[in-house]
Amino acid sequence: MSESNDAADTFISVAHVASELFKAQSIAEELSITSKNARALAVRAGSTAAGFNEITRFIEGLSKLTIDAARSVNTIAISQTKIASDLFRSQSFVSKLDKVDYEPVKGHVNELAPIYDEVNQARSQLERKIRISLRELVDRLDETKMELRATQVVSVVSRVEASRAHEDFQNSLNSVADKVSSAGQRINSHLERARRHLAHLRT
Amino acid sequence: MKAISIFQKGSHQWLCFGRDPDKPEKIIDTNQYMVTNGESSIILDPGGVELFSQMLTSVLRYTTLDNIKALFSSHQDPDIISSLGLWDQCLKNSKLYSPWLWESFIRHFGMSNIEFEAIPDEGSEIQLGNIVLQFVPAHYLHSSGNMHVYDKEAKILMSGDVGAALDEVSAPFYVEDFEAHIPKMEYFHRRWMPSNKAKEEWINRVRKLDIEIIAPQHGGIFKNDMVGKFLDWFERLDVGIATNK
Ligand SMILES: [Fe+2]
Ligand SMILES: [Fe+2]
Repeated sequence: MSESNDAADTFISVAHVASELFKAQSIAEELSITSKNARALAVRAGSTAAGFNEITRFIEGLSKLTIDAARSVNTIAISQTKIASDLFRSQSFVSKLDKVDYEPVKGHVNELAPIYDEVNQARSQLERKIRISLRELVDRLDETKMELRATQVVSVVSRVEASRAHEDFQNSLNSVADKVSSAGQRINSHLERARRHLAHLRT
Repeated sequence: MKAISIFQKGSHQWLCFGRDPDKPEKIIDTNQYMVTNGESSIILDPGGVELFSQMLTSVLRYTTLDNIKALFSSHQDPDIISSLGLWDQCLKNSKLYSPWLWESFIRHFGMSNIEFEAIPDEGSEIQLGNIVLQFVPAHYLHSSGNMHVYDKEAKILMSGDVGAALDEVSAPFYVEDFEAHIPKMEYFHRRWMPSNKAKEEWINRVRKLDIEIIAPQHGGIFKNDMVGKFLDWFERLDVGIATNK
């Protein structure tokens, strides 16, 4: 790939990222419901599942984290798409200008030169903006992925808590643990997919 | 893209650009017009995105970008004005004259430098150098907000899609044999033009103008006795044939 990103390719990739994050967000919303159920369960399980309150708070935190990440990725994606479509416009404008068969009359100014200058300037500005915001996007995704690793820990802890709880609650608590770990994995795979969509772009 | 001069008197000139042999095959051939008077030029129906490079190439052979004071779009169609976003990046102090009805639609083509000048339903006029161009209403021919351009000095009516013919790229710029030309325009008019009433109003309005040339956006240009032949033919034609059967 040349030194600058192709605008159309950029906004298509960014749109994919946003759609992966949207999917991650709906899983996180489910997770948030799971967490509320777990809290109710913990109350009923009483002192036998004391550690569970801690866990539900943790799950809520994780779900909020994913939802927040999805929102901010979405905001970045929208502004990216706007920048990328402006960039697309100036790139296609330049390619049209390149096809203009124009030779300034001797002694006259080259009329296209200042237009080239201006559009090239605008173009490099847009390209810079895109790279900055792509960097931001990649960082946000990596950060979220890191934080999500904790879901696996939570699910292990949940299982330990479940084993300590009264057997009436063991199944329910285990199912919370299952849900958390599966949600974490699914969110993670969306984040990974999102990350792959950006892999070929220059930041 | 070829260019011909269809009128010239001093620094007052009408050019027609079209019959582009390099045009992609499935794109309808269009006539773009440029009227120049002294240091001022206006491009009428500047055309689609696909033709922009050829158009800019052609235009710069006859004028400078600074002298392009205005663009005109008779209506909102892509073959008329989808190049707007590209012109917008070349023209710094230019205006786009177009029916008011289409402003919020045409802006979708991208317009941040060019200023929109809304033409009211009853039409209006602009000064170009020391001549006046009139915007003549042609609503529902075919678009619901549609204008033509009349130049009293040159006796030319730029008639947008009225008089349009679907012809070969190799066809001559002027209509030479009216009878042979009819099949190239009949379906177009019967299908695209929705209203006999609108057509009659337009014919009455146009018959009052002193016209030597009717210059449509597609196909051959009508000159001298072809003008009357076209108006008579169009007057008799039953338009608005589409049904939902
Ligand atoms: Fe049209
Ligand atoms: Fe047309």
